[in-house]
Amino acid sequence: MKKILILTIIGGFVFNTSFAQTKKLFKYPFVNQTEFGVLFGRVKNTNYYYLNYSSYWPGPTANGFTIQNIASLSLQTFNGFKVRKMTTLGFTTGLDLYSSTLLVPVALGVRHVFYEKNQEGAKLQAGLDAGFGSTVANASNSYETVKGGALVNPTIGFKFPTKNGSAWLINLGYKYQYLEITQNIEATDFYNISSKETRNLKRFQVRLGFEF
Amino acid sequence: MKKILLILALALANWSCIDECNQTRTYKATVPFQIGQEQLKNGIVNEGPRELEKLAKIYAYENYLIISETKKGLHIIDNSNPSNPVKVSFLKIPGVIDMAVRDNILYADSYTDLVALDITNPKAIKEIGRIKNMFNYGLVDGISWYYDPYSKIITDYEFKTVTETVSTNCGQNGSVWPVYRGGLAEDMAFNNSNSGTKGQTNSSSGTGGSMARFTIYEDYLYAATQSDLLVFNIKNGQKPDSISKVNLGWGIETIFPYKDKLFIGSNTGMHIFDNSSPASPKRLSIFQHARACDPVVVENDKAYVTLRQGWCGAAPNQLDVVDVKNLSAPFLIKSYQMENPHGLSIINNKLTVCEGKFGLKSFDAKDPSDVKLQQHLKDIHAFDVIQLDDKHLLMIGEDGLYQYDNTDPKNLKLLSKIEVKK
Repeated sequence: MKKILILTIIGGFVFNTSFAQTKKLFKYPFVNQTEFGVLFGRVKNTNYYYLNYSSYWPGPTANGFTIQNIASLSLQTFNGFKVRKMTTLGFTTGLDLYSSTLLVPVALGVRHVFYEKNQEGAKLQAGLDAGFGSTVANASNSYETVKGGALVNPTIGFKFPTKNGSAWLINLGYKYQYLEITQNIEATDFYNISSKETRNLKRFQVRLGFEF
Repeated sequence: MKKILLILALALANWSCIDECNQTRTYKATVPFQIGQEQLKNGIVNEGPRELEKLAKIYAYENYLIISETKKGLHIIDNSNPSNPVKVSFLKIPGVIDMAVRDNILYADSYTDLVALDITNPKAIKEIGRIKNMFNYGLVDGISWYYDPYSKIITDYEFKTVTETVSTNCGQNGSVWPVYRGGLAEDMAFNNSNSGTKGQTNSSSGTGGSMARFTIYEDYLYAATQSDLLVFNIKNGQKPDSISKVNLGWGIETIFPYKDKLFIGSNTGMHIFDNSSPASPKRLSIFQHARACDPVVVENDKAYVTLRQGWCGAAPNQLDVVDVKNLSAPFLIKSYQMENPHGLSIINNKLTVCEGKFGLKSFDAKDPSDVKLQQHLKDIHAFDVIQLDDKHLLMIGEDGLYQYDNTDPKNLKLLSKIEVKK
């Protein structure tokens, strides 16, 4: 099931390319922006001291932290319609490969060109995707249950039009993703009652892609 | 245009690229607390009757039922009419687990001490004797306590539910914080493995159930610790006197006196002691079995041992019938398949076995090589049973203390039930 889904998404990238051939199918011109990106972030490892090493109790004391740089891959495709000369509305999906979880973003997006020197020259483009990070493609783990959450992804970048009407894209952005992880505690477990982790993932994003 | 720039500026001001991950976890922790000598001594207090909770052991003496609530105290129940038992009082004793009664004197443990209490008036129980520092450690309900002879302080633990939030590394190294497993707990089941024992003596002593780590034989009180058997002379009830200590090895669970023998159940086997000279019992033999929780009862030279899978071991769930006619060479007659047997009791070939959450089973044990099931009461939880006489049966489960009329083992009649607070 999940493999099929991933294939569909990847297939979507290819399909979009062939879609470009059919012009004037819709009232507004169809736009596809397919991008490959890297998410850069920093993770804080808080050092905890436990008085009693055989048990969590009494509660731990935080004592400093270490910071680690991390990077993960992100693929996305935005498909929409150019409703104004400068503005495109559409739908965004793809794959976000966070180190612990594989997410499929399901988001509504907008792209707006807010500055251009002339029609053929480079343009400044702002984008915003907002939606939900779905865990459908994530490998399920008996140990924990992952629930996806809100996703906000503002970007700003350049669009370099080519002669045939397509464009190269460079986007810089910020990606916020919420996740909730619940540990699956067996009913027979005498000691553990519940454990829930909330993750607010905040990443700096660099995306390179292509528009037609 | 300006709006977009403003939004972007705001976003820039607020963002950070450091992940924020917090784990909120709730778990049971063993939290230590300490008890000094004075607290121990002043801890014995008479109180009005209260609701039953965390039952540990049960002891029947004349028309009274004495039920211990783990480490808290004793409930005294007037059971003159088994169809309508009446709670009389609650006696607070710190650290109490076991008790035994003879001639209106109740012997109970209170952490390190053995106390003798006059129960002639169950509403005003008086301490009449105490031997200090007889026990140095204990283990009940999965929690152990210990005594430090230098500081003279007892350290015990209690379970506490703790909720705390810690920040995590967002699963970056491939894991969330490990789930905490284990702890001080060792042997939950040992509280639940019990069998009825009858003090075989001419003077008036009672019938112990549950675990029975205390038993009275003639003028002697036997108290089993985790590794030793302590013998006390109680000829002068007011001044119990420690007279000997026999090492039994580890994992002692129950004492069952039968004729002039002592059957001691440990989690690796059944020890048989010759008790003809009660002051110094001698080991005759050991009937060994797989590591398991194993209450023992004996009747007509047949010992009935239940083995179950639990914290004490991983043996198959079964009932072993052992011939103990020749005490120095016991042999197995037959094993019967069981579901999850806990306490058991036998009287006049009426064998009753508690099956934990699978209910209570009553058997006909006339022929030890063909024990027949008579009745199976399902839908109740049963962990210990005592048959007081041919027709009166006491059973403890998680939710209550039940009394049955056992005249017809095919048709047990419920006489009464006392609710236990969960």
